Amino acid sequence: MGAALAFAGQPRLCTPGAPAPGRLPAAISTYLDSLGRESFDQFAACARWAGTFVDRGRRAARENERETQPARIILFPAAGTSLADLSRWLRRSNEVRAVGISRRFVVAALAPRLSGTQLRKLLDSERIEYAEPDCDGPEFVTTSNDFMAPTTLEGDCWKRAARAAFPNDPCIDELWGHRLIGWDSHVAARSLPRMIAVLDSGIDATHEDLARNIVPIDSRITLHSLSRGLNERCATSGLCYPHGTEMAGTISGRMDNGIGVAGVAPNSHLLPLVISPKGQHGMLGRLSTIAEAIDEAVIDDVDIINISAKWPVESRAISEALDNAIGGARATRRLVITGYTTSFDRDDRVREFYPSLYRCLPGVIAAVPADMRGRDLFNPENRPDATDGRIQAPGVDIVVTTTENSERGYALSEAAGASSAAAYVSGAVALAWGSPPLDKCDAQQIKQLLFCRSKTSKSSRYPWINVGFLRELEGLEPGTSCATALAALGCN
Amino acid sequence: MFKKHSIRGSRNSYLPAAGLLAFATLAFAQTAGPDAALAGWIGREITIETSTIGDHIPVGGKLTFIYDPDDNIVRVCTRNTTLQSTPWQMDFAQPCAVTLVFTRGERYCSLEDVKAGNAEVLSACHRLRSRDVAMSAAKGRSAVELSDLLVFLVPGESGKHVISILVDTPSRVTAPGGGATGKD
Repeated sequence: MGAALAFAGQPRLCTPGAPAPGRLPAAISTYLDSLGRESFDQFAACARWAGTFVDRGRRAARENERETQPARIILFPAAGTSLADLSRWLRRSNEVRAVGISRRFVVAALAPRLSGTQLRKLLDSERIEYAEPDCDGPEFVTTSNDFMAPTTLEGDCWKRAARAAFPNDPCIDELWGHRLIGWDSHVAARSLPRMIAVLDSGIDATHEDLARNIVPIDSRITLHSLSRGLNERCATSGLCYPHGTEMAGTISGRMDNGIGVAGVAPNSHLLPLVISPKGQHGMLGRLSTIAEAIDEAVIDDVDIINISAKWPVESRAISEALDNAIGGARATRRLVITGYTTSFDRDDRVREFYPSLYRCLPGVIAAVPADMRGRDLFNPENRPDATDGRIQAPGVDIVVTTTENSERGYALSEAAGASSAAAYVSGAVALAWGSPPLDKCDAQQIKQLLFCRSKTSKSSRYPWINVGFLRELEGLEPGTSCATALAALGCN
Repeated sequence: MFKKHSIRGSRNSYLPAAGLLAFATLAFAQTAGPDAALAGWIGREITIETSTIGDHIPVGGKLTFIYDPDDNIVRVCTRNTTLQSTPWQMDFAQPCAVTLVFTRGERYCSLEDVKAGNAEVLSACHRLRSRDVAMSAAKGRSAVELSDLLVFLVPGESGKHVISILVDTPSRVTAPGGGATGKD
């Protein structure tokens, strides 16, 4: 997996200079100091860290004598202390109820009603270099919201018989996003498989349009207990929230099999890793779960990590895993694709979330959801710059594979928003990277190429993902190098 | 001040004074009435047609926006009907208890804009916003779920007035967000 990046203190991957000093996130340190003998409340701590703490909610909870949520902390060992040493020491502590060891950190579940003073004393140990709450919850780590509204799309295409023409998938004409981004079924048919980790709610491995492309995680998985439990229950069963299955069809639904949809990269393989099962009481995704899933994707040597989730804080656990996954500053090994996730903050300003904010890194692309049906894209006057990391993609009214709400495992997902856009971009990256001779390129070359050959429209703020240029590869000799191919495509 | 002008004015000065009076009336009307971008949605009974959070914003439920000039806010007044999926609950069940503040954007949103969910785009749209609306009990804990509502005004076909509601839960208790649409 390579050497982990050594952060000292709070990470700031997108801020030049040294990491912020301190052994806790600043908001958590302030919260601890304010508690004294009062009980630490994980919920309040996470809300403060996220900047979303509402005192009215806390008062309401007190009035109703709601119990505080016990602390669950991610702990990084100090230099000279191993993970095993830290774990053993924690297990001997009266304040600790359970300990899980991950690859870079330890997760400790602490006793209920632990006071701020007691927790501060524990965290001040010389064995601990840094600590952060292992936050969870459907609002802390979540996929994009479901949303329903009237649509102009014809539904139920999945009930039709196979088309007579290639590809014979009956929903192919409803995939407006495929047409808009210049997708070509013949290019897709020739593409080589790439491996895409789908960090989401799992993928239904029994779905007829997906089954052949799903690669289950290794049964010898070394995830700690929560992540292992989530994956055992949700990774391929189709029993959990359907979001992951919906994104999987857009990325890599089988083509020309006479049913449903075709993915943008229909020959590629999908590795389901569960981070947001949503709706599974007591099995909510946590920051540690995401960090572990990214590490697992690296162990499984995937090319692309598609993350369908958002969270409001820069977690060191995730930052370290992500930095390692993309290969540091050069970021040549793999790409991380996520949605451009934004919402209105309490002061009405637009707030961007993680992992979208990691688009400052060269190995990360944030897909901006948009609806451009009925409009044309054209080549921009100037080649777009990939530094910003944002690229637009279809995000509205997408026909998707699913585990519910349909008779045959499909539905019209009227607004997966940023998640759908990310699925489109992941598919586009896999398709381009799997189209010889571009399979010889590294991750950065593929990213630069996709921005270089992106399109635009009069109303587009960001470049639009486009794969129509892949047809131009047909004229190249077999064995052409990546550099020569990029030059031929005008993007050297 | 304007009244004084009109009383003291000579015949020659009467017309300018009348002009000032008219201006004063207009100015008063502008501060007293809702923004022109919002006015079409005021006083119309809107029926909820789709909802991903039907327990809290029920399909078939009726609501009317009432403009309150004293506070320059919009009050949401709900009405239960026999056809709606569940009754209005908590703050929505109280008479006109939910209040919204109007933000004038640069344009009206489309439903597709709202569905895409890019706040960067939505920030340019005319919208209403609430704070801390009690909509449901928090699951698994003895607490109340406080939500923020964002209501986007969408001009519909044939002069219909459509609303698209996004529900967020910044208080972060347990419930996920969701959305609903309705029209008059």
